[in-house]
Amino acid sequence: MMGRRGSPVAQMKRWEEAAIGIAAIAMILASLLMVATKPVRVSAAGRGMGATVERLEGRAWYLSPVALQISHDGLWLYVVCEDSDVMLVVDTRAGRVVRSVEVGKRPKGIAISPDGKTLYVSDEASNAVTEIDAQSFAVRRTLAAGWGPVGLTTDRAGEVLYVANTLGNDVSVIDLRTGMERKRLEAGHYPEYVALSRDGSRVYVANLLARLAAPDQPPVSELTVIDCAKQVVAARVDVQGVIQMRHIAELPASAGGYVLVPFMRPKNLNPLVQIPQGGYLTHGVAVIRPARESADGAGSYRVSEVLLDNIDHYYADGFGVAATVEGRWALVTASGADVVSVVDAVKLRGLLVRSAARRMELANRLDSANAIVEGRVATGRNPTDVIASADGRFAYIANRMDDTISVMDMTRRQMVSTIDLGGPKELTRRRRGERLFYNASYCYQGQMACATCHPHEGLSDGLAWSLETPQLGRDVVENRTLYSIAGTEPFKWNGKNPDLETQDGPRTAMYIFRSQGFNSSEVEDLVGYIFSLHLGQNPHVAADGTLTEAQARGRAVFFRDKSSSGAVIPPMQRCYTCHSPLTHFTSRVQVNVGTATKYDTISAFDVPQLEGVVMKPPYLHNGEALELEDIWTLFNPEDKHGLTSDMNKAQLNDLIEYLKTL
Amino acid sequence: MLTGLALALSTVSKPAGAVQDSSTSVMVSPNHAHGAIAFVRASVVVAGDVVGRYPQGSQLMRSAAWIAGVAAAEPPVVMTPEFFAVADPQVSFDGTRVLFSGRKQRDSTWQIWEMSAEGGDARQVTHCSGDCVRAVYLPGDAIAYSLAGAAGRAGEIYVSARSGVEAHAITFGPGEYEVETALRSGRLLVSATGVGGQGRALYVMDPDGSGLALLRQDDGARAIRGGATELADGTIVFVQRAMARAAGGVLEWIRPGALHAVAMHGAELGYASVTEMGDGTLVVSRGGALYSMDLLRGGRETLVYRSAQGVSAQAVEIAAHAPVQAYRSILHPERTTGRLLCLDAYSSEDVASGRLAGRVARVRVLAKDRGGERVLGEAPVEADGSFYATVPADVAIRVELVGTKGAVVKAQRSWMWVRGGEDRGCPGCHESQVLAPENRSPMALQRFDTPSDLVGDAKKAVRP
Repeated sequence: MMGRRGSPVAQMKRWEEAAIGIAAIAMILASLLMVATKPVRVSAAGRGMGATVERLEGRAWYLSPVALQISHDGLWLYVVCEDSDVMLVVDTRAGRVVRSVEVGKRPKGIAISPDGKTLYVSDEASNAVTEIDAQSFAVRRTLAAGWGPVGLTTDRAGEVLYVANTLGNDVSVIDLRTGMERKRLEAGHYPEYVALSRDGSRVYVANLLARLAAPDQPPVSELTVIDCAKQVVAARVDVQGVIQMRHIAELPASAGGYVLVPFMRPKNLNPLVQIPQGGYLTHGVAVIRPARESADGAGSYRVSEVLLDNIDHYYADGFGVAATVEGRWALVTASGADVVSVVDAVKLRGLLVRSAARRMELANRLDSANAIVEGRVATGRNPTDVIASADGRFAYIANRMDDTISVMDMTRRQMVSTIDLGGPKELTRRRRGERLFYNASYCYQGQMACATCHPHEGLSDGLAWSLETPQLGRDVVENRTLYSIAGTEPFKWNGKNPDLETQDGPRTAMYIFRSQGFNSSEVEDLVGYIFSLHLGQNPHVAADGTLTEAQARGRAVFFRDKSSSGAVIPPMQRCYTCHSPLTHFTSRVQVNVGTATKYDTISAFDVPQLEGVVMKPPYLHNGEALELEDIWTLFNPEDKHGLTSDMNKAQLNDLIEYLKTL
Repeated sequence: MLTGLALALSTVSKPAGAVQDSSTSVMVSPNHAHGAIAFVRASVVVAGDVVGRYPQGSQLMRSAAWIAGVAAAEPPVVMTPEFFAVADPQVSFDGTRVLFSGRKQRDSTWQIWEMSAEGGDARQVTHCSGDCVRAVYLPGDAIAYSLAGAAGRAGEIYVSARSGVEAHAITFGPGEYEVETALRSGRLLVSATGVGGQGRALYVMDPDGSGLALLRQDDGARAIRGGATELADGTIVFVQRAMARAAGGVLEWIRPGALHAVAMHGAELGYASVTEMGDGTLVVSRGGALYSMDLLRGGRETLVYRSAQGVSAQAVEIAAHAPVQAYRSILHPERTTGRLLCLDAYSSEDVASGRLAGRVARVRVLAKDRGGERVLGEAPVEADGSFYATVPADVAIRVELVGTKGAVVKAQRSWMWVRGGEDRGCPGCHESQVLAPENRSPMALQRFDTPSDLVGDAKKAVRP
């Protein structure tokens, strides 16, 4: 979306929309004021945007390492840096960077070919994969992928590349001989990381978000299993009650053959009255193993969930996971706690055997870590990926927020050195805010950071939470994205927070973190960072900004002022009245659109901005609408949420196509 | 170098059986550099009696800074010559002040005082009608301290400004509450009578009086736990005595993540206090002398100070140290009620299966009264075990689970309270501390006739 704003055609389209909006607003202002429960507050917005954002944009180019690979001989460490669009080559003996290779925009993942001669870097914001010669480090070619590629792996022969497309919710299967995408396989919700099984028969895909489902049910996430021989989805493994499954590691068969995936277990359905004892959320690792009785080897998986938190301290935001070659140790980074947990795989296996009959209870036990974690080793800031050397001597950990690599001696399980990747040493306001965003130490007992509920740089976790409310059990509300929220004040579904400083300052400290929270300077930094977050390239928009026929028709529907029968639509039933293009497609007021349920104590809700709306399901204040169409077909019986009952299916489809472009 | 003093360096890998020098000596550990310390020295100590613990008086001593491998140049000096007795020194976060309990005269009550870390400028903080002891610093220029009750034990915990004004109680049950330390998380670690009225157990609570909970559900219901401190890595160390009047006890600790306390050094007895220095070593009082304990060397102890004039204990380092987190209260002090939400009353550590058998129909809430206790009312327990009730604030209450035939299925043996505007959430009824709650919306919150009003005639309930 940021790129589209720069094109002349896109800007022209914006101005057309804006002109329509201006006329419309002049006409409906009076009626708008009648329904608004709170006046639009503009003045407060200036504090957090405008000039402030401009200052932020004069930013240093930090590296932000997020993904690692290592050469087969262990001499070279390949480091993908998402903020600088490079892959760095580190000499592991010398402990220094020896090469920098420019890749696409916002690289996130890396794979190495089985022969070690080729590297593949996923470029999330370019929707592509950069193929690099691992000897010369020349870029050979760029492979087209789906929307938001992150995790990737080749098959065992090195002939096929599997790429997880986060925003596309699918996996690209790319023929490496031709460089062409052979097919896309439907994944779960927001597939992020992938791993090839040790025997090469399967590709595992971890989905960051839970499947879209009724908001009053616990989340269920999916580990998608791809059959490499057939290149089809062989299994969709339910991982109950968790979200944010991240990297994947498989222990060797001799160590149980478990597939390990870090996760977070939210307690979003409970009212948030108690933060200790896992009352808000817990963190752990899914332990998944094909069941022995699985006849076809594909369909049956046994899933256990083991918490890595302690009874009174939490290790927030598990991210990377790696296993030593012999399978003795598993390393799990806690990106919000700045530690790597060293899991004793032998003890893990013992725990699973002992708990076989009580697997469900195991998922909630806060004493497991005490039995299986040998140690918590401090890393740099915001550890993300971790990889173990083939000889089992070292492990390397990418520290995103300080541009370093921690080197761990696996014989002693201690850090032995830190490799400085060379990023800027001065901290911009944005960087300071970014560090705060990922830091869980501000929360009582370290339960969560901002990123815990807004993963992947500001995404919504897709859950409806029973947050602070005068009446417990009421006003359960959907989490909202942090993308493009500058200028959309007030915040919260009830519109009670006039600015982000209020939202992220004392209120977060009191009701969420249950601690002293951020000081005023930190809040300013944090707000600066959050206001800099935007959705990346939107593949639903043509490069020149031109709308497709369907999108153009949908745009006409969005801006229509007459119904299908030719009658004038009252201003308050027009889409653009409340979703004004002048203010990020929100009117910044609270409106009753008839979506309140008996469990809500208010009936008017903050109008959400529509920029990036296509990637924000579920919808409505309580997350009841799983798809855009549901908003109008299931939850708008009286046309309070705009006149939609007169639309036919084709018009609804067109409207959706247009909304996808925002 | 030490005029009139003998230099004696005693290093032992386990607590030494005897210390060879009976003269006063300030020693150093050869491997550590420390700042100055303050400690309490008394000729006679009566254990287990907070008010009468120093019948012959006591003094706050200050030793000079230690230099590694070299004995201190000056003997310790008396910081409180104008006091009959002092105890419980605590150093402010910036290292400039010392908070302590003090009795000016033999017949004075204990009050909280504050003085310069260099000594002098003592200022009386509290003016309690009884004895106030064991104060700790809190963020925001506040302190918490204990008001002694009957039988020489502390009874209630108060929080006030550091100036002593705005003092208010934050405990409301008959547990003989006593401040132990302020945890780095901003919570208070306190000790109180254990479940069943035996022993003393460690609890955590918010500094606004909400969220009281056992630190650990472990053995030792008869054990006397106190003198607790938190180490930099989150370990809780404390002295466990077999009897309230025992002069010393075993040093026990609860390591991060551990479910149970274990003895640090087998069953060695005689420890009276423990404190962590800035470099991670401990200073313990054992057998009346002070030792530094090096945890990195298996707990090896080195004599720091031994006085022929009495017992030394409660050493604290006079240095700046990291402040504990500020706690932001979400209570509504103007409210006279709070709410009790139990997610699953069937969840219980008291039965082997972890879940109560049979059907629980109702929960009964009882308030402590002068003559015993009285029923405030009953609320329904839903099929999922949840209940939701409004109860009077700042009143000692307990709950009973009642079966379908009216029999009490389970009764709470200790007293608790909620504060005004507090939403007290409980995963279960004496449920296992290691079990996080299930992620489900409790049925009690899906009803529109809850919370059940169990306030009763709460105003008649007498505060303990």
